[in-house]
Amino acid sequence: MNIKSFFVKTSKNVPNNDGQYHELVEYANSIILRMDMEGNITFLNRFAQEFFGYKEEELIGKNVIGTIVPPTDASGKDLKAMIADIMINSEKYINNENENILRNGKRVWIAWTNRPILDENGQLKEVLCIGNDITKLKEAEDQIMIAKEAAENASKAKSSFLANMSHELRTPLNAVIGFSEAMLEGIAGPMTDKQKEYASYILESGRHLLSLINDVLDLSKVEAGKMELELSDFNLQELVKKSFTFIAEKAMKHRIALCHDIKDDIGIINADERKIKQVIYNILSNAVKFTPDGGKIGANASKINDNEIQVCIWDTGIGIDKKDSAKVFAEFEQIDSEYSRKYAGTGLGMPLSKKFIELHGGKMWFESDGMGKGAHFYFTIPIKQTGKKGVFDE
Amino acid sequence: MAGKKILLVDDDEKMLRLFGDFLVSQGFEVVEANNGNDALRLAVETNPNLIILDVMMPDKDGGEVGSALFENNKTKNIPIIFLTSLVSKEEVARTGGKIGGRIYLSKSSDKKELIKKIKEII
Ligand SMILES: Nc1ncnc2c1ncn2[C@@H]1O[C@H](COP(=O)(O)OP(=O)(O)OP(=O)(O)O)[C@@H](O)[C@H]1O
Ligand SMILES: [Mg+2]
Repeated sequence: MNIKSFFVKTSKNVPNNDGQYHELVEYANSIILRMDMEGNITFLNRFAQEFFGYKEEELIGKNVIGTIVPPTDASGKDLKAMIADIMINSEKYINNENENILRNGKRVWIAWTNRPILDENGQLKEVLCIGNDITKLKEAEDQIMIAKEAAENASKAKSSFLANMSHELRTPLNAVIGFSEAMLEGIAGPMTDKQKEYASYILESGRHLLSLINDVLDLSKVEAGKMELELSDFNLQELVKKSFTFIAEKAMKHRIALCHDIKDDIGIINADERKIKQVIYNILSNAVKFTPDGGKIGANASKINDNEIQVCIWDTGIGIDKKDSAKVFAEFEQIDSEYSRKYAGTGLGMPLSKKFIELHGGKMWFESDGMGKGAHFYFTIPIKQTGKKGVFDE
Repeated sequence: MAGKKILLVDDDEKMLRLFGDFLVSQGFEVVEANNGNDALRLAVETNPNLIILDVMMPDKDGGEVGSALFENNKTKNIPIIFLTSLVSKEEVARTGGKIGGRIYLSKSSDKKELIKKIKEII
């Protein structure tokens, strides 16, 4: 018997006669039924009768469509066609999830195992269907999908809101920056030293705010999938060297030693220079920010394979506790410890840098042995951007 | 560059003040317009050596004003620099200051950059 051979294959605890099989099938906590080539029910176990709410005689000989299978499911999928297809392409439906319907009209989801039953000539005669109710699971899955979609929409809405806001914010800032600059240039006439000092604070703050707005705009562009790479060939080693000059003054003030040892074989890479520069600058500015007086900051880079360079920028600063590591690359997050509380920032530098690196197909991460033990920030970058098109490519 | 005339167009009075005063301080003669229609009229009447044109303006935007200037035989040869807050100075640097053959500058670009561009043109 086919039912028997099915169980023989799948169960280790094999009952020894047909009577026991019968019992097993009847009282199994699963829906077990068989249907013929037309989809007419030829057998259903007790569990199935109770589950669907029919007596045995009400279903035997009846078609599954219109009884336990609705013609179409809630999403409009043609289940009549699906039943017909099970008879033709049965191998595709060995494991299948579909909507079913109870006598009281309630729709349920069932995970089916459909086994073809062949006649002596190897022709498909019937299908043995074993089903388990997964309605609850399906509902939970739907909830997750809805939540996920809502979150994605919210983040898209957030992105376009941020993009618009950034444009709106730049306009008044251009006036703040422009006029304080003009005053300092003496276009409005001579100023006292105090007036110059105040104007320079307005200018400095305006510029700071503008760079924040640009970061926010960049981040929203990346999130909206609108950030494009402007590829060019440049010397990575030179770029790292140049970047160190940005922090040289601050480092000197805090007696921080700078050491960068980049091997000469790195040479030219093809990438978005402005973005890579920003990444290096962001890491370095964190390094000086989080390294107390008398510390050290360094960088090294090497080819790790034919098409990849790894850059490491390290410091001997306050380090990062294991429990805080998730915060480093999270937007607008900063580690709030007694060491770092006194440092200014918005928490956009690292998440933005990571996104820039990932846009290039590289990776970014950090290592730290814990608080007070310094930090190593790493990124890898492909030497050439393959597959991706640059603006100037054909 | 003394005696060179620049038509400055921006709907924002503050920006007219900022760039107008700056250009005057650099020795240019400056004609100002705070909307597209005035800009088209003044371009014909005063025949400037250069027009600096804001992009985002109500009623007629910079692009439309630019096209209208180009279609008029009296103004079609006057060079234009578009000035916009839509792009940051970094974006300008990245695109080489040109988008679609047009010369662009960000309102947050350095004044030196603006003077350099003007000198290249007139
Ligand atoms: N070199 C480092 N040593 C110790 N902690 C670091 C280091 N770099 C980053 N961090 C931690 O990670 C957080 C996030 O860094 P990120 O650069 O994103 O933000 P930020 O520097 O605080 O602000 P922003 O860069 O936007 O001005 C920092 O606030 C800090 O707590
Ligand atoms: Mg930072």
